[in-house]
Amino acid sequence: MVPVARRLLLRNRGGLIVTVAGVAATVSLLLFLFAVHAGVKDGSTRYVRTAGVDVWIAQKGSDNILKSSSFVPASLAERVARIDGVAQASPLLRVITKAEVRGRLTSTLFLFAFDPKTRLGAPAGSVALQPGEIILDESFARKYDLSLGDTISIQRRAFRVAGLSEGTNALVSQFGFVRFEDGAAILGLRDTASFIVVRATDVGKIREALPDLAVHAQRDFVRYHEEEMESGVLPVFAAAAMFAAAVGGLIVALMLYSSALERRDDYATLKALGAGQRYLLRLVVGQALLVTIAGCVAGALLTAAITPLLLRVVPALALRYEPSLLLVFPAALAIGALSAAAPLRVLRQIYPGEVFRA
Amino acid sequence: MISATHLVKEYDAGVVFRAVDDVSLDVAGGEVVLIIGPNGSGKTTLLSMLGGLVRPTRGSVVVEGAALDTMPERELEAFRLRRVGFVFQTFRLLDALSVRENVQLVLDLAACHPEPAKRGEGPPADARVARESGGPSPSLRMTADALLDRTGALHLAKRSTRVLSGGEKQRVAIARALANDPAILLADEPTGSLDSAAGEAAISLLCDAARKDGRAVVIVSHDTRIAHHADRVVRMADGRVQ
Repeated sequence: MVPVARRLLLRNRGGLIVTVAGVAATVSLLLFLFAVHAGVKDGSTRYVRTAGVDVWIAQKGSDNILKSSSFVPASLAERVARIDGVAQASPLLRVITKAEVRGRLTSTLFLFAFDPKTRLGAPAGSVALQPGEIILDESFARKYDLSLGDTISIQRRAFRVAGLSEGTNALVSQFGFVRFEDGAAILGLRDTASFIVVRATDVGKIREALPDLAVHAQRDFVRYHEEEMESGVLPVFAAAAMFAAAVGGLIVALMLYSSALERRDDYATLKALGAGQRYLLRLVVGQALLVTIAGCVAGALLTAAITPLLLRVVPALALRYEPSLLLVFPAALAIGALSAAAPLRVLRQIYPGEVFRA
Repeated sequence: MISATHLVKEYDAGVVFRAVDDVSLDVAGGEVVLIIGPNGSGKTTLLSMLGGLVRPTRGSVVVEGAALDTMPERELEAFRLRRVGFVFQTFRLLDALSVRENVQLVLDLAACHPEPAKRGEGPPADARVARESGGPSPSLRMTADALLDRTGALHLAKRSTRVLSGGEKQRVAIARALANDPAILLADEPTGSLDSAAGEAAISLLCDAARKDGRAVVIVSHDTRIAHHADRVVRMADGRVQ
């Protein structure tokens, strides 16, 4: 078959390049948005998933480590440890604060103070902390050019950076980890914790023993975090993604529409020769798909090229490219094919007798 | 082969304008008919109706036994594709395609169209091979080349149509018109954009298509110098045959 769709596209190289660039930018933006979404989702749940905790005990009505307040007595951990089926229990204190690095205040840090003996609530794979030491989220460290051994100040207390953690970045805020007594000293409260974190086999017995507190099994607690994140962030990302997809579709539609107007004579000739509306539809859908495929390839390459630059410029970006992001490509193709509807009215109105106009 | 009876074509743009007024015309296979007349005499409208591009307001057009005025649109497309060859004053070649591709395109269109061929066995069979194999069959390409060879344009096969002279373009356009072995050839001012020599060559090719292949050829022209090539000359004025 004569590749008419490809030839018609190549005949208008300027328009083709602009359209492919537009689709590439759209695809790249979609990949970026979904990667940020996946990164934020992971960043806001990975700590909860990997902190080595089976049960989270919090104040009634509190089901999130970041977005709800909870105060419980730290000494409650000793009582919980005595409940049948509980292997370990210790207090975990969350402090929302800012650090001072080289005389400048940082962005907000979610500081978690854990019991160094049980290490329940410590980030996965982290080092043992000494008093006055801190583990920082690696993107936070990159953002403020901090390395192991550097010192930061929190509430006029000096902390030496002893470790870096991954998956502890909730987009606009990152996590830090200190020993429980250091966290309590920063907060200035005695016998206070945010959560009691527990290793146990039977969450039911803990619930029975603590009817006035919220007792969350690990799986439920992770789900609450996912739901909170999805309800808060997903609509924003979904709206941005839909807007980007619509812009991409409009770019392709505009190109096809203007091409149909510019090449009206060619389409009239095809009609006069006997090409039906179905053939012309295939022709514009073919052009739409070719442009979209080229845009997808260019968009993927663009994303691969700009991601390292973006991470350098915005270190706190939590980007996570998952296999599910590949769905962007069939979605783009579907939008591209739909955009072929734009010139259909023009094509339908072309009268084959136009070929006799000189 | 072509039988047009009492053809009337009216256009209604607020005021009804009759472009063709009660024209009857028969053209036999192998015959070359030249329709001449001034601008606005209705000759191109008549040609459009004979080729199934425009439906008459009244009257009938029958080509090889098929009534075009009552034919459904899809069948009319297939009819134009397989049984009519068009040659235009401005050539109407697709400038995005090469010379060979312009000819091959018509063969491809026939391959994609579900209607069976009514005349000749060669090109449609090759076209079916192309459709089933997903690409041009060697014989389909040979068919395109054979058509270009017949019109003296084979040496231009790989070239872009944009770089051709008017005479060369018309040779390619005639090769394209002959693809799918049509029963009738309809040419609108085929010498209008050509110099005398190129015009003469184009008319010779059209006459060959009538006399060697038995096709009915209808040529519309202002150019009375080509009248001696025609078997019959029909004069039109004000939508009527004089």
